[in-house]
Amino acid sequence: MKINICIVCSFILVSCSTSKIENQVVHDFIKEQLLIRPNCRYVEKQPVKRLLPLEFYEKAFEDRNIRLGDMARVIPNSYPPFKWPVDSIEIQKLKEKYEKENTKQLWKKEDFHGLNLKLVNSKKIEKSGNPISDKLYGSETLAVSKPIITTDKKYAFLFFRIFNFGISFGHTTDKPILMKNLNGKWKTIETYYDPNIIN
Amino acid sequence: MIAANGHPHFNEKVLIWDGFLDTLEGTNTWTGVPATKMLIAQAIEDNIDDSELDPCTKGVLDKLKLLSQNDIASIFEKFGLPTNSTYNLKIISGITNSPVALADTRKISKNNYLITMSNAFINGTSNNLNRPTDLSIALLLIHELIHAHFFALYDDFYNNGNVCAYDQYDCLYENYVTKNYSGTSDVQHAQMFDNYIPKIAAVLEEFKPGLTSQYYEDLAISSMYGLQYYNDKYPAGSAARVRIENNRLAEDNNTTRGAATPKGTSCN
Repeated sequence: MKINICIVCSFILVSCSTSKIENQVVHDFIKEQLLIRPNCRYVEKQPVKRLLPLEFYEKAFEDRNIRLGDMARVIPNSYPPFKWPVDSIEIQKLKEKYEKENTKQLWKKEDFHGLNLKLVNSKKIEKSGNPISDKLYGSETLAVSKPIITTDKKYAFLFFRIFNFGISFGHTTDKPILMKNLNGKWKTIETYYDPNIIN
Repeated sequence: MIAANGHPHFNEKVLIWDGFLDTLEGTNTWTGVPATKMLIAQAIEDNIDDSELDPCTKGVLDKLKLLSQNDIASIFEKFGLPTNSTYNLKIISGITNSPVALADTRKISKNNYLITMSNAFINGTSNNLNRPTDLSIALLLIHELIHAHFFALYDDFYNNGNVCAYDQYDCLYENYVTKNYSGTSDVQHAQMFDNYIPKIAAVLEEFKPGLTSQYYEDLAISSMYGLQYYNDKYPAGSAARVRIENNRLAEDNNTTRGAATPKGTSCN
């Protein structure tokens, strides 16, 4: 009985700790973004697919030795020499861990506490056929995935998308990013992209 | 075009390495002329594969090819051409990489590029069957053709031996040569914003003359919507931004939008 209680308590403690880290990652990321996008006021309720940034990173990692100019599927946005802090073993561990997650879990208001962002369900609004309100129209809106935290808790993967609500011809910014825990703050250290396609 | 076995097809213009534009006239007969930029650009235009394009977009593309001052060839010629100009370009109607993208340009392999125009957009299926106007489609095509041109420059720089490919393109040069590009937007759109907006407006004006220069410029700059440069130049809520949005949406949706009415013609 005592052992079971200990196990349950340990599980709760680990879950709370992981949840706190995830929350910190998201907050630090959004603060980074709001510095360069001060007009961004909305967050899409539906998170981006959680494994997406890891899928990008995995392709970049696998193609890391392909010569610039040859066909690599994904490459880092920065310049060589590139760093690859997450290796293939860790990539597999993370895929197994996060593949099981509940993909229907929407963002909640408290996930963005203190960030002056409102949740919006853009797909629901568009499907309703009602005209998009003047207030929302053209607004910069952020869609973001729930973070993937590496086993050593030093790195995190996120995918984000910035789009203008209701504007079909606009360019969206789509980026998988790698963040690092630097003295308790999470900072973006690399972004990745598919160099073979552009809109 | 170069076939998979490396041999050109009968009657195709083939650009070879020695600076001559050679045409295969028969089984073994070639005629060649010095490959000037104009001829190279014209050959690229002539060899665009549009066999899988819907009739509406093909009609727009054919018209763009026939413009006298600002045809497609001039887009490629504007700031220089790849040294080895054997690149293949195909344009199709289909499904874009992202459900919200109206068009995209993809590098299939070295010197081979594919532009996809969104079926849902062209047919109006994503917009209550309101099809875009020819001005809207022309704008999309021009934008993507410039991307194809930039992909070709990339191949020329890395694969075709032209270390000067980026000499006239500041942003691309910073990114690929000096490796110190620090813009917030991706480098291709940054370059487009720097050099190509007047060109896009000029092409549209020749495509559909008789409108105000402001209108053509608005359409041209609307293709930069969402990028940092655009947001800096046209802040949210500004009169210019509203006007640009309305003019663009009027063409995309073939409907009145605010004070804007569509000036182009849709394929309905």
